[in-house]
Amino acid sequence: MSQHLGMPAWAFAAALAQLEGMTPKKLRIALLHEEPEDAWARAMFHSTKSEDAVALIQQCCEREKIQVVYIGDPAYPCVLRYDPTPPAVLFYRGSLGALQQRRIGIVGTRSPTPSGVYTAREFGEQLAANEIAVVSGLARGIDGAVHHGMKLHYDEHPQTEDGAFGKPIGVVACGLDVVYPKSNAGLWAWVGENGLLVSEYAPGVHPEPYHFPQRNRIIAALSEVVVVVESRESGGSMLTVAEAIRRNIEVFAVPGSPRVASAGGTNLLIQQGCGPVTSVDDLFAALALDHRRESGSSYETRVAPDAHDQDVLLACTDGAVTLDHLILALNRPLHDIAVSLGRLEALGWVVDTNGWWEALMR
Amino acid sequence: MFSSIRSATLIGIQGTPISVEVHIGSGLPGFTVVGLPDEQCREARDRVRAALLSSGAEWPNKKITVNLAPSSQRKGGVGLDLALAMGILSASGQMQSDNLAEYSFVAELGLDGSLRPVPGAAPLVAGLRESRVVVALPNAREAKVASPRSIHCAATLRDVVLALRGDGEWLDTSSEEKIQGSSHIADMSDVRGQPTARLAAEIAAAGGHHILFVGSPGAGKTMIAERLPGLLPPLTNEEAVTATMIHSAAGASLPPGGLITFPPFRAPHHSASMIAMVGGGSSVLRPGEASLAHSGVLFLDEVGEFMPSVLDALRQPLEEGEVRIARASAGITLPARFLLVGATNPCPCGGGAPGACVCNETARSKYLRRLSGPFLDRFDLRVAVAMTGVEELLDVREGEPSAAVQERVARVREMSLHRSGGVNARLSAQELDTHAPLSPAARDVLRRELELGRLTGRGYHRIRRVARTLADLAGNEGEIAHETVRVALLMRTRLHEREVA
Repeated sequence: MSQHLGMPAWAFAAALAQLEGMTPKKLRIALLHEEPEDAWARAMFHSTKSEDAVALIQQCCEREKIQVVYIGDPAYPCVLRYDPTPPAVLFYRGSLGALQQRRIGIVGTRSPTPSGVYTAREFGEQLAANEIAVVSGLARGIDGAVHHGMKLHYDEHPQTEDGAFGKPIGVVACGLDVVYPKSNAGLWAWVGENGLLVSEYAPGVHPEPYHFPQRNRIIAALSEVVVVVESRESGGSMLTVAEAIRRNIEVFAVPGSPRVASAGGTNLLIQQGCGPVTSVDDLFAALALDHRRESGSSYETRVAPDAHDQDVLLACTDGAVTLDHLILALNRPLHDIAVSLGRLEALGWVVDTNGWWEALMR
Repeated sequence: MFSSIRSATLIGIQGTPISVEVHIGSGLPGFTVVGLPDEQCREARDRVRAALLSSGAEWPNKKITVNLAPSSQRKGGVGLDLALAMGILSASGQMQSDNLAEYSFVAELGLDGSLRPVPGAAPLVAGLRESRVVVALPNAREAKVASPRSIHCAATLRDVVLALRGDGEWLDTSSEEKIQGSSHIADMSDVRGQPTARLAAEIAAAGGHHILFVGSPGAGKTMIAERLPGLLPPLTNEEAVTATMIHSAAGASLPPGGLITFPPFRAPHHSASMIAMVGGGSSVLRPGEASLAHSGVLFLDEVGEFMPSVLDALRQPLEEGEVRIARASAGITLPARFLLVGATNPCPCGGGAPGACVCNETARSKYLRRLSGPFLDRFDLRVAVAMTGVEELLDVREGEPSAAVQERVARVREMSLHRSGGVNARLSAQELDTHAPLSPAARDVLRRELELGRLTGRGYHRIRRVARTLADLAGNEGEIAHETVRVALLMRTRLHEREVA
């Protein structure tokens, strides 16, 4: 069955993945035991569907610049081949070479606090600088923020030689030509160009709610360690954690205030024995990298606030507060607080979200 | 066989004089009303006939023709009943009175001949200047607002005829004048904590700045909004008369004294239709909530739940202080200069501190997107209201009473009136340069906000207006200091969707 008019094997694998009624498990069984052409022929035995479908998806992938790799393919990533539930077909943009770097999975809630976003962004920036790849889901919130942080580093430092920076690895839950969420479209394209954008779903597949837990298992499988920056006690990030634990992948969590709902899950993880992470140094330690040789990554770059502003900053440290709280707690005239907040904000010490102020401490 | 009686009908909030002409001639007995009467007007003939018979008068069994002049103009309402009855009495010779021409009549008739009040008595009487007006007793107080001297009241049609003949007396209405209106507006001293929202309310009152409260359910947004009218100075005579006219024309309830002396507070439900909000209607053009709130406060609770078209219809009155309604039959202009107070939750679940919200992202962005950008931009002040702390809530000490705040507000209003002839919120861009110059430091603060894209051009002017009011409240007449601008910026929270990355 090899006289298929020169159509490549990957096109058959892709067409199989796209077949109606094809589950990840069936696909895995089909492709583990047979060549894609034969599996296709078997699947088509009782069907009227012709090889047009194969040609169509081949054209589609070539047009959208999507590459395909299947589980029997020599190019199929090693880390996934021995996974308990490997995705049999992977659609990707960018380079699978990104998986050669050290990899940290960073995930978190889609509705984070400003300090959560800041932490994720900072991790992204510093991991990019230290040649560590970051696996994440390109979702709203923490996921987007960590890759955004990497992008900031890329934008600020012109890349000199290939591989000098950590690569972004985005695992998504829909076809690569279906951008979701739309607000991360720019980041989506950037990850595809500078790292690896990967999905087990064929082009044109829309994100269904049940795709996300499936996607999370790939995030876990691709990571050497998983870090949860901020998460509620239930949610997608906790599913990623469960998948990681199933694979004996170590999980770390960023501790948060017990008063903040979106830190509930991470605090729970720490209570249950996950290692706490408060700086990038902890991540280097987790990967058993000696971070002390790295220079200039861990000292404070912000101008220290003066004593007068320090009080205002301290009043914002225990979770986000409104102006009311500051006025009552500080017992200082409003214009005085306003000026302090203005200065602190300009220096990057506090952020304002819809009228709530929060300190960004180290 | 012919008589002409004066009455009035309502167009918007203006009374227009009408002549009710009655002709009784030979022919088949019948009763026709011409001159574009509406349904209520046309039904008058049955009421009038019954009222006349109940009062002991005779119904002429002849051809009765009634014309409402000017006949090109549409007439509505029931206020013409009494005039019609007087016309028939006069034309049929049952009542001779030389001074009938001096009187106008504005009242509805009951089948038993009693006089009933009509909505809009104040503007109707105002439209009948230089004439004595006969109204029903319950209308006396509001009628006197328009014309204090020439109002006469009677209980029944029979009493009217007797009084006109000189055989009876008009009812005594002087006792009604004594009642003074009193304020029922709740006091600011009930509010515990909430220093930011309090200050924002004070700024809003002093400078006429529209204000949006954003906060979780139960945080106290409505409580403060309801107390805002108490911070505004009492209405001037002119404002009071206009407000009374509008309320009267809309048939809304008036205070016991008849005259509205305190700033009105209107809080329409979010299901309000466009007509209910800005005014209009098919036969009679009625003032809407925007006009009823004239020189007072229009409070839109759950502002995001209003129909977008209704909110956008408010943009014209917000800019121009009046509503121009055009219909095929007539076009009217209604005053509508109000202080707009909005209240909204930050998201469907009510939210609270960042991170506490449990809504999904789509629901949240959809929620805030309901308020159109141009509409949101109209709010000079946008304040996050957080739940009052337990300590403040249980505190037995009262907050500052409204009267103390009102004093400061009145002072600032006087300053700005003296300076620019209006409140600070209405300063034009040129006036801002002369009346609200920025200090170099203040200019730098605003430059940075503009450069960061956190302030629009319109927002820039709005901040300067609020800063002017803040400086006035602090008693600083000259240049605006950078501290003041900082506070003004804090009082205009950005409501953009939460930054994603």
